[in-house]
Amino acid sequence: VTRVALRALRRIAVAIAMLLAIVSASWAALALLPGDPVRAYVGPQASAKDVEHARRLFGLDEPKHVQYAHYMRRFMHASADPPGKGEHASCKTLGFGIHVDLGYSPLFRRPVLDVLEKRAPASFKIACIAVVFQLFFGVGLGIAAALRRGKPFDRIAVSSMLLFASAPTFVVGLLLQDLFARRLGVFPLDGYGKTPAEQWWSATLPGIVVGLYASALMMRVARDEMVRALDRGFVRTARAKGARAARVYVVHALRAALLPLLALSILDFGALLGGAMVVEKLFRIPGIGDMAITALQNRDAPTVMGSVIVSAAAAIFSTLLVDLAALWLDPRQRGRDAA
Amino acid sequence: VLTIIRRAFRSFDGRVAVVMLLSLLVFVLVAPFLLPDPNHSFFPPASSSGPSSPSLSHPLGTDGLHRDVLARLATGGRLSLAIAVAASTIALVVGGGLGILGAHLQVSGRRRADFVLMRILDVVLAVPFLLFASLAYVLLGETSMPGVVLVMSVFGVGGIARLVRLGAVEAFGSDYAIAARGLGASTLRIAAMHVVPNVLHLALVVGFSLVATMILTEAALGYLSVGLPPPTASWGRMLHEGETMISRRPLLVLAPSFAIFVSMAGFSRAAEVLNRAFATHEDRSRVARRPPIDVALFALAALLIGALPPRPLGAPTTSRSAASTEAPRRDLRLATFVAVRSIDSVTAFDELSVALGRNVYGRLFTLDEHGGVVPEIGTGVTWANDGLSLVVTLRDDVVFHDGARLSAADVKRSFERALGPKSACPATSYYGRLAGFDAFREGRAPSLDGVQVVDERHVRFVLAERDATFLALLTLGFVAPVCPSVTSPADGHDTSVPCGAGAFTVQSFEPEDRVLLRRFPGYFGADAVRLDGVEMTFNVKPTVQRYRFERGELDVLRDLGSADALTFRNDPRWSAYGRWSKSLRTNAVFLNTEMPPFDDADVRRAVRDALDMSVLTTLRHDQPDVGQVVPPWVPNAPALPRDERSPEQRLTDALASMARAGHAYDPARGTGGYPRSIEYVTVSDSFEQQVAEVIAQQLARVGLRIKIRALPFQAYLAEVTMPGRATMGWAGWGADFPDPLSFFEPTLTSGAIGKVSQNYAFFRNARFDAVTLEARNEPDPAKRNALFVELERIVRDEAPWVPTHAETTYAVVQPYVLGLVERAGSELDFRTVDFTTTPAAGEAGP
Repeated sequence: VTRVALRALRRIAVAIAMLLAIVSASWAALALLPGDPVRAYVGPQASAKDVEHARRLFGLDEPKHVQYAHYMRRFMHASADPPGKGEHASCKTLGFGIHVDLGYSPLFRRPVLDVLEKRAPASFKIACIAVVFQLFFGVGLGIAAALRRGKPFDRIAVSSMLLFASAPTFVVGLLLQDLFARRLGVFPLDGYGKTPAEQWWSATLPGIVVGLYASALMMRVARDEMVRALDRGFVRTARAKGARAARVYVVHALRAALLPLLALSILDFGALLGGAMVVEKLFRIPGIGDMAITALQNRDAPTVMGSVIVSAAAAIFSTLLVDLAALWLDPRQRGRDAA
Repeated sequence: VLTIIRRAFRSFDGRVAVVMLLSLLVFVLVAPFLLPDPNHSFFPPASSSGPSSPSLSHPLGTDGLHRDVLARLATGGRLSLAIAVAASTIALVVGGGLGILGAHLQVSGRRRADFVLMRILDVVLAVPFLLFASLAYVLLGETSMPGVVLVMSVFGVGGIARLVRLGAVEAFGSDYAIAARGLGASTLRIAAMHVVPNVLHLALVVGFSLVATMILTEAALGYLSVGLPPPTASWGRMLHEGETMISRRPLLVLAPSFAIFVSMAGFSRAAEVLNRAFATHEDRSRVARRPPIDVALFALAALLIGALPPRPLGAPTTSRSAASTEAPRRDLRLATFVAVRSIDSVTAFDELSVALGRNVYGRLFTLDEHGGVVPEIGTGVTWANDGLSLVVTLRDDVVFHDGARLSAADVKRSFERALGPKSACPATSYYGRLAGFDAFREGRAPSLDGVQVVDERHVRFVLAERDATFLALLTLGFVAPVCPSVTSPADGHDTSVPCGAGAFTVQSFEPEDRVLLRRFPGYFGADAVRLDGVEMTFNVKPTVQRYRFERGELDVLRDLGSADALTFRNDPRWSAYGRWSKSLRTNAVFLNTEMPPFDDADVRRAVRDALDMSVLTTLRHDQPDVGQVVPPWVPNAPALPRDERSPEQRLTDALASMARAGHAYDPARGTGGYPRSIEYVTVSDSFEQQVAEVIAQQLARVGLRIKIRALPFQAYLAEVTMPGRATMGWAGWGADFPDPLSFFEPTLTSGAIGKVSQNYAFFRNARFDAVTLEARNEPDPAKRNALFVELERIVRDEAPWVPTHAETTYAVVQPYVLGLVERAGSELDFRTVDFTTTPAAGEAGP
C-alpha cells in the first residue's frame, strides 16, 4: 500500500509541475502575440497620448520579464487579508490564507476569476449533459446492438453512429439547431436563460451535440466489450444456471465493460470543462470556450491565461484521477512500473 | 503487409471506402478545370437579395460574394485534402520517431528521459487544440499553407507518439530484437529492421484515421475563421460564410457539410477496414458487411433540410398585449449582436455602450437628431474673452440617481475624474485645449484650472486656445456628471452599477448578457418619459433577433441582415415600420504614402480610379458608396461633386496613371503592372473582409496584385498603427461627435502620426494640416463648410484614402412603437419612445 501511495503522490506532483509548465509556456506565447494589449482598455480610436497614458497606468510599459514575475507572484500567494479588497481586489481565496489572483481582464472589465466563476457553470452544464448523454445513449445503443449482433439493427446502429463520429460538431450542431430549435421549436434557438431550469434546458441541445460525437466511440467500446463478454464462459454459465436475462447482461457482461467506459467519460468530462468552443459559439452559451475565443480575438491575455489554466487543469487532473483509480483498482499495476 | 492491405480493400467494405475516396479525388482534381474561377464574383446587374439559387451556369448557386459554389467546393476540397494528408504524414513521421525514441529510452533503462518526453507530449495534449491552433496562428502572424500544416501536425504528434511507443516497447522486447542485440546490432539497426515493421501496420491505421481528424480540424479552423486567408476557399470557411444564410440558402451550408462528411467517412472507413485486416481471424469473422448507410442517411437529412421552404414573413401584430403576455410593464425590449461589456461613461468607447450610457448619464448638452447641440443639464452658454472662456448655466432641478442634487462642483468633479492621472479614458486629448490640462493629466497639478466653479449653478470653462468644436465636446458621455457616491477612479476596473443624472437608472447590468433600465422618477424631464423601462439583450445573432421579433418578443429589430432587411422593406405590410439610421462611421482604403508603391501619388490615383465601390450594394444594400470621406448626412458635411467619368473611362485613366508611375499594365495579356504582390490588411470575418475580396478583384485589372491579410481586430490595429508595416488596407473611422472635423483631424493630419498612429496612410500634407487647424478655430459654419470641401478635394486628389462606403442601418419596429428616433451616430434615445394601442403610420422613409 505504501508503494502505491508513494506513486500516487509522485503522480500528483508531476501533474502540478505540468500545470506550472503550461502556465509559463502560455504566458510566453501570449506575450509574443501581435497587437497592443492596452487597446483592450482604450479601444481602437484612442489617441496616441491616451494609449501611452493607459500603458503606464496598467504597468504594461514594464519589461516582459518583470510582468511575468509579477504574474507568477500573484498567481498564488499567501495573505492574511480578505480577498476582494484593495490590493487583493482581484483575488479569490483557497482557504488557509492562500490567494489566487489572475489579474484583471481589460476586455470584460472585471477580475479574471470573476469572469471564470460566472462562465464555468455553463461549460459545466454542457459537460454534464454531454457525458450523461453519451453514457446512456452510447452505451445503451452499444448493448442493444451487441444483443442483436449481425442483425439489421446492429448494422444500422453502427453505421448511423459513425455518421456522428464523422460529421464535425459544427455541422451536426448547425443542422440540429435548425431542425429542433428553428423549425420545430422544441429547444431554445440559442442563448442561456435566466433561471437554472432555463439554463439547463438551454445547455441540453449543445450538450447532446457534444455527446453525440463521443457516443459513437462509447457505443463501439460498449458493443465490442459486450460481444466479447457474451462469448465468455461465465455469462453462458449464468444463463445456464437460470439467471434472468437482464440480470446476466447487466451484472455479468456489462461489468467488464464499465471500467474503460467510465475512464473514457471522466477524460471527456475533464476535456469539456475547459469549454466546448465551437458549440458554445454556435449556441451562444456564455461558457469558458466562448470566453477563450473572444479573449483571444481581443488580445485579452489575462483572460486567455485563465482559460488555459482551467482547461489544462481539468484535463490534467481528470487524467490523474483515471490513473490513480487504475492504480488502486488494478492489482497488476501495483507491481509493475507503468509510466 | 501489402497482401493484407490488398486483401482488405478487396472486401466489400474496403471497396466502398475505395469508391468514396476515389470519387472524392476525381472531384477535387478534375472539377476545377471544368468550372469557373472560384474567386470570381458574378455580380448581378442590380442590387439583389443576396446569393443566387442553383442554375445551369452555377449548379450549386453562388455564395455571399456571388462566387460559384461548386467551383469553390472543388478547389476548397483540393486544399483541405492536401493539408490533411500533409499534416498527417508529418505527424506520423515525427510522432512515430518520438514514439520509437521513447520506447528505446524505456527499454534501455533511461526511463527518466522517456518520462520527461512523454510528459512534454502530455503538456501539448492538455492545451485545448483549437486554442493552441488559434494562438499559433496569431503568433505566426499570418496563415500560410506551410504554417497551417505545421500547426496541425503538432496536434497529431502527441497521440501517435503514445501509440507507437506502446507497440515499440513490445517490439524492442521481442526475442528477435534481443537476439539481434546479442549479435551486436546497433540500436538504429534494430529499430529499422525489427521495430518499424512491427509498428508500421499500427501507423497505417492511425494514419488514415488521422487524415479524417485533420480534415475535421482544418474545417473547424476555417469555421472559426483562423484558417487560410481569404479569398482562398476551404470547406470550413465556406461553412462559416454560409452559416448566416442557413435559413434562406441551406445549400451554402449543406454542400460543404456533405463534402467534409464524405471525406471523413471515407478515410475513417479505410482505417477501419485496415484495422480489421490486421486483427486476428477471430475478430474479423464477427463483423458483418456494412453498407454505407451513414452516407445515405446524411444525404437524406440534407435533402430534407434543403427541400423545406424558408418560413415566410408574418403579418405585423398591431397591439403589444396581443404580441406578448409577459410584458405587464411598458418596457421596451430590444436586442443587439454586440457584446456590451461596460456602460461606464468614462471608459466606454464602442457605439452601443455610449448610446446606452446617454440614457443613464445626463449630459451638459445633447444632440438632436440632426446633430445640433441642444440643452440638457446645461441651459445656456455665454462666450467671453474672444472665445477663450465659456460660462455654462445649469438647471437647478437636477438630481442624481443616488439622491444628491447636482451643483457646479459636481461638474468640475466629474471632469477631473475623467481627465485625471488615474483615468483610462480613451478621449482625454479632445479636451487638451482646456487651460492647465497637461499639468493636471500628468499629476503635476492638484486640480484642473480650465474648469471653474463660479457659483452653485454656473461653471466656467477656460480654454488655452480657441476651439470651434468645444460645445460639441460637452455632449460627449466621457465628461457627463457622475454621482457623488462614485469614489473609484475611472480606470476601467470599477464594476459598480453606473450612476448618473440621466432619465433611466440601471436596475441590473449583466455584461455580455443584458441590461435592465428603469425610469428615474427624479429626472428633471421625467414627466415626458413614457416608458417604464428598457430591456436590452446583448450578443444576439441577427437571425435570432428576427425570429424573436416575429414572435413578438422584441419591440425593435435593429441588426437586420441585408437580405432580411430587404424582405421587410419589400413587404407592403411592413414597409411603413422601417426606420433608417445613419451612422457616423466612414470606411476607406488607406494607401500608406511612405511605402512603395504608394509613395507614388500616381499609383494611389490608379487605385482611386480602378475601384468601383457601387457594386457593394449587391452585397449589402445599406452600405452606400458616398464618394467622399464625410457621409453627406453629417451636419455641415461638405458636398464634393461626384466623379462623373464612366467606369470604362476611369479604368483607362487608372491604367494611364500606372503607366506614368512606370508600371504599365497590359490587361489583355495580363503582363506588366507592379511586379510584387501587395498586402491588404483587414479584419477577418467581417464585411470589410468581403470588401477586400472585391477590391482585390478590381485592382487586378490594373496590374496591382493584392494579397489579403485578414487579422483579428487587435492584431489588425497593431499592424496599421505602426509606421512602415501595412502597405494598404481597410481604414474605418467613427466620428465621436457629428462634425466633419471629427473625421479629418484624427485620421489624416500629420498630428495624428505618433508612437501609435491613427493616420494609417501616414499622410503628411502641409495644406491639409493648415486647413484642418483653420476649421478648428473658425466659428462660422459657412466658412467651415468651404474648408471641409477643400479637405475632401485634397483627399480625392492626393488619394491617401479612397473612400469606399458609409454605413446606414435599417431597423424595423413593431407597429405599436412610437418615437424611436435614431440620432446621427445612432445614439438611441429612449426618452421619446412610447407605445400605442393603435398602429402608427410610418414615420420616416429612406
